[in-house]
Amino acid sequence: MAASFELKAAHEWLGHDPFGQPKPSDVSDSPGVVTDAKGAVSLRAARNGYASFRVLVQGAGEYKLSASIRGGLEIDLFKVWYHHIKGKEGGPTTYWPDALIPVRGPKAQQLPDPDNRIDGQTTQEFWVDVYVPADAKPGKASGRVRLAAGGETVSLSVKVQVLDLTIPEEPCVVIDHNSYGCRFLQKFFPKTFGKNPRGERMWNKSIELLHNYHRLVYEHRGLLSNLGYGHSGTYDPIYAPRMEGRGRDKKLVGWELYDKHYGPVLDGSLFATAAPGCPGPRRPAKPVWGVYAPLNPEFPASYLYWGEKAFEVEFVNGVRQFDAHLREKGWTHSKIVFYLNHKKRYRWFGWDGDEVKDIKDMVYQREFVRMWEEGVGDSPVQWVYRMDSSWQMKNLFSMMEGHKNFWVCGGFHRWYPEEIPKLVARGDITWWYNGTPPITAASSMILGLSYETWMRRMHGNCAWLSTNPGPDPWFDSDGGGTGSIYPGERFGIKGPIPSIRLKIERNGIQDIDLVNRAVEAAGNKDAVQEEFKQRIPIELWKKPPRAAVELPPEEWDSRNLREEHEPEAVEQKQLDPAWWQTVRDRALAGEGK
Amino acid sequence: MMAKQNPKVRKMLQAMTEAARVASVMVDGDEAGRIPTERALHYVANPDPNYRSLAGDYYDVDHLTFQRMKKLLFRIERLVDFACNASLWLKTKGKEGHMTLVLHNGSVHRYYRFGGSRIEMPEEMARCMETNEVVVAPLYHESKTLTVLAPVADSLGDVVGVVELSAMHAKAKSIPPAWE
Repeated sequence: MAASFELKAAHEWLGHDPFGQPKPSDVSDSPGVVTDAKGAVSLRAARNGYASFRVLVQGAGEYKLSASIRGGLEIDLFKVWYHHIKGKEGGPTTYWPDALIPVRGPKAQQLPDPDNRIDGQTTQEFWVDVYVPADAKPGKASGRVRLAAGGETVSLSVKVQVLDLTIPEEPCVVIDHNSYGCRFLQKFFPKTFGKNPRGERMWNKSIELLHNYHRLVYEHRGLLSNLGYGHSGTYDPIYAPRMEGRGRDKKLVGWELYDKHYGPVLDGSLFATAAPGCPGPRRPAKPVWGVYAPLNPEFPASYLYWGEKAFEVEFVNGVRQFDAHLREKGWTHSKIVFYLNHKKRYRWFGWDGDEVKDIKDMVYQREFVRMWEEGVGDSPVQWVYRMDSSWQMKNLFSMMEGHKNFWVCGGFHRWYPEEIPKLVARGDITWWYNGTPPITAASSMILGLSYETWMRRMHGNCAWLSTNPGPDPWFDSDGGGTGSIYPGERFGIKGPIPSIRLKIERNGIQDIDLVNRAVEAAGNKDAVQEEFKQRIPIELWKKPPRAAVELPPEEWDSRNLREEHEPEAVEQKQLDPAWWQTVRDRALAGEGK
Repeated sequence: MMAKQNPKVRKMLQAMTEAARVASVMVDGDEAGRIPTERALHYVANPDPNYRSLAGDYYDVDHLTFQRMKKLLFRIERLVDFACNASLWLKTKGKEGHMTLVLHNGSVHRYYRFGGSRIEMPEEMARCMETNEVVVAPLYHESKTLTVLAPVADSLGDVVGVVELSAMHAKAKSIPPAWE
């Protein structure tokens, strides 16, 4: 009987557990309002983007939930998964909303949900995306969320004020979701790969799935980065062609898998279709911002010859062949990122490519950059040299001036409020990296990534690992600090599924894009950023600790710095969970401009 | 239970054993000992439980000796006509019964666990060092690596470490992932 069910709306930043209690970290002193006086969902939304809310289904038994909307708008429903987190030392298991399972068609649901296995579950949360196309007419649109059970229906009215405001097509900050290799897919999609994954079939499945990860992230206004080679320099064949011969005769051959993998990503055709289970696509199909190149100490030259003439011949010629292939294919719209990722602590090489700690190691990097520049010459391919930098960043900023630099800075960059703007001013791409806030943190915490990026006037943020939600994200979650994208296979979807964090992040990027366009048009960026600084207690820059001032980076460590250099998300305790309202209000204030 | 050896595996192990004999002659234990810095070794043996990344943060090597040794191991790998990777392990100074990886090539390994700074000495490594002889590590399963260990001695003849030569079993379904 529908009478035994109740529908309630909740703000996008306010999660609930499966018993109807608010997520503790989301409870705000001034909570965001999502309903009007009559209890209808009331949203204000710019065109060419999304507005979202949550629906709580409360009751017991079988039901069907559906949603519809008029005025040319579209509405998407997602069922929330409650991730089990086991209590420490025998404490009770707790349940946290995050993964979002697309609801397509009138599928019967149960409460308690037998799949989610929660004793005594009384509440099921759903995520609702309202998509407002770029050509929607400003004005009012209405819709409804309906729950049908036992021949009766309860519903929730949805009212959307479509604003005369259009979200820019391209995000002004790159919010990157990093990942490593393709073998993780076999763990998360065992049915897709079958019992004995091998050969061409395995690589084709890997490409297909990676493409779906790209599609999902792209649709959420982000970038998926997928590094193909390991710390040893080895790589799977979807990431680079084979090397044949040696010295002057060395050739890169067998591009089929590489082209199949990267072609649609680099020409943008991939985004003309949506990932399985997803609506859309709703963004124009364009080439991605950038991809990693496979260049590393073992590709395209053999490290056996390092320091000898054969290494330079093999490396420079190999880069030329790689560049020629990209040019021949017309893949010149995306950044092609040369990045040395290895660390000497893993013992494959005696120097750091990533996060250089000892400045003496830069001898190697500079030599690689010299040879790479010789190889690419004045190519139209948008090559950049990426340096993930922490300990030595200040020294490297000056040492590497004049190259096509792409900085991805660790948390220490907050110590350098004068140097970071100089990098940006001289044309270096400047990002920072971080971890992903876990599912137990405030839902709005993830918004800090785009906020801090924009406020420090950087170009992007890299969540260092986004595709690994742990060995059992469903019933033994590790908190999801390395995975805001989930595998969809257990729900019958041959691709990834989004999360609440990914949705909130997307909505935040939209807001930043609106604010950025408005302040650039009005020429009042300084004033608006100052206003945000006054109202939002996020520390954008920091005074370095004494050790960082008095000691060389070679002598720094977590003890004397009293700060962790690993990319972990740090919760801002002083932030109210509804802190983003300041940005949202400003974003939607520009109507008619 | 140990897996049966098929003829191809026997042949591979013979070739690896020959390469290991070369390694035991060519790899200089004194030079190997000069690769990691004293400070690096201190933190490998004495990790700080409150700062888990310290041993990694302070890991450092002498560039030239590292480079020479890496190249030597590359060349030793080429003594066999199948994919085979070499790793150099030394006794962990200040931590009895433990071994520290000094350097390695490629992605085929038996003992290394990503990010680890030392391991408890496996029985076969202990045997290799005690006997100063090449040892074929037990083959437990067809999906696992084939491994042969070569003793590494210093100028006094003291065995200070081992070279691990590992290859994928002939029946292995695919190469190990780049990321492991």
